[in-house]
Amino acid sequence: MTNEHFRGSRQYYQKQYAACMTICRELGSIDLLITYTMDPAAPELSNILLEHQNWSDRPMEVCRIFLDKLSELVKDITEREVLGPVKAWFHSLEHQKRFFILYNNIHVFSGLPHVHFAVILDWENMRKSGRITSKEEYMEQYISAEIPDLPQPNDRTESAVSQRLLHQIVVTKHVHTCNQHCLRDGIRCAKRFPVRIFKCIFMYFLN
Amino acid sequence: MYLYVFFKLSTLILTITFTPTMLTQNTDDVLHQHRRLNGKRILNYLETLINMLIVMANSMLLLINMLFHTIIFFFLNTDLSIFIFKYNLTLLFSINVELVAGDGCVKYVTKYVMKGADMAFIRVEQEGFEGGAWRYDEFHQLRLARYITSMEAFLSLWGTKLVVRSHIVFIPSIFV
Repeated sequence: MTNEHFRGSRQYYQKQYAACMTICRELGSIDLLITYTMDPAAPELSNILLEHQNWSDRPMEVCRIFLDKLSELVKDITEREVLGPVKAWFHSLEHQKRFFILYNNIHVFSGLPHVHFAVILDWENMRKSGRITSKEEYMEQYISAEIPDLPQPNDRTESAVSQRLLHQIVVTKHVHTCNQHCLRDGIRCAKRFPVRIFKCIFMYFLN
Repeated sequence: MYLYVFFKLSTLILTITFTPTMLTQNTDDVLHQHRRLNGKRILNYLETLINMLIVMANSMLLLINMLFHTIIFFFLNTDLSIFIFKYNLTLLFSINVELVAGDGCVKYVTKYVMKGADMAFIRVEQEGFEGGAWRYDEFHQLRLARYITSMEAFLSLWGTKLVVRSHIVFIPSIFV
């Protein structure tokens, strides 16, 4: 067994990095970076668990559910093209925060699977379709980090219903709340939330 | 760097007009997001929400799942536990989507993606030896002192690929 075939070693990742850089060199630079984390509170997982059990007691089920969801995500992005036409992609699976946690007076290893997904978009195809011509327009259409508008209260159309759903999801689920894991020195957030206001102003002027 | 300069000269912001070309030229290494300062505030349970606190995401990815969920729940009317939901919408889960603007940070982003698990290398030293090193061989040390969690063990037993690529990169054994 040579070094680069040893799973998870530094040499292994060096080789993978070189291969991925080859793709970037030949086909274009990375356009999207998608982070997907396994959710320990997923309902299909909590259905499996017994009363006294934690997710760390059933590592196999956690992995299986995660792999199923990951394959769905890959299908969504590459075949159904939710994020626009895709030229190339690569993702890497890893486990982060692998430390001992104390649960019910027992020390267990934590660390949920975690995927970083890099996507190279097909800009030529996108320009041909005529909808999107530049990165700014793409950003305008596909990515947002703001509270969506609510439709009129007596509007019952399909788009209004989905807009209401989206508003509900974003307001309840997609809000960053600082806790002890992300705060450095008890003050500064490692994820840089709340996003500094002059950056917002910068974007506001553009629009 | 560019943004920092503007922060210092914040009085100038009002006088300078911004154009899209300025954005693409100067903010090469910034991961972008669409976040307007429209002053929208929403009163949640305890605190007010503003746009500055929202994690970025793609609305399509969010909506598909929610509709999928509701369709199964209302129309099929079956036991939910037999379905694998696409991506659930609970508190700890997340799909974050970020747009990488510019070619300047390709190397950085690829390295970030390929960084692997957290690890630490420990070097054991001994007195009296040359340089104080105790037969330090990085690969040997990794084999000796590696720890994996139970989930990683399952994935490696199943032979799940850690890195998956859309294209096959072939490394020729002979370089001409």
